[in-house]
Amino acid sequence: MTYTFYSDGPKGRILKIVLYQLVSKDLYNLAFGDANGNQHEFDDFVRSDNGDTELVLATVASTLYNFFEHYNGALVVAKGSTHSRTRLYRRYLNTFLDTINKDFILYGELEGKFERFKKGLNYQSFLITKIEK
Amino acid sequence: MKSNFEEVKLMTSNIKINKALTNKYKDSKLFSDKLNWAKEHFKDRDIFKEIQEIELLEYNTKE
Repeated sequence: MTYTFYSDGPKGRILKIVLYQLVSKDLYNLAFGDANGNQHEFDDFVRSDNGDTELVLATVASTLYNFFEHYNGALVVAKGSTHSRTRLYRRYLNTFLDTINKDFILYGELEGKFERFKKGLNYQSFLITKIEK
Repeated sequence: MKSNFEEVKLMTSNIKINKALTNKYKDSKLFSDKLNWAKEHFKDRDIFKEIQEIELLEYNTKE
């Protein structure tokens, strides 16, 4: 599943791409980044600095609602491509954990072992699934 | 950082499901690097069973 949206800011209009990649049965990897000029590559190493990082992350998170409408019961894994990216996601998840917990169950991975996500821990990757209501 | 709800709503309404782009990007290096990482990371591992065990523990702790 692929979603696109635009970030509009001081650096202009940037096409953002959100990809859900099938890893194995019912397990998907969440990858996202900026489309580069030739439209055949995308890059999440580049922090576009368009003044809307939190907004972009919130929009990426909002694609989860639509994704789980199509793939109920799936698990989605996310990890930054660099330590600083993962740190950024962790900070975002810490900030919005109460909101996230209303609809999703979030797990964090520490030293190869997943647990329910707790604030303030240095998780290396994240898993998310939707609460079945 | 902006965190205005209206802005999030605006940007969310801007989201498009773009199936055509899946084919366009699936061969990109980053796309395949990320997929390979995930495949390797979860190889020989039953992540659904791990989650089940976490939830069972959570349930028992609350009881």
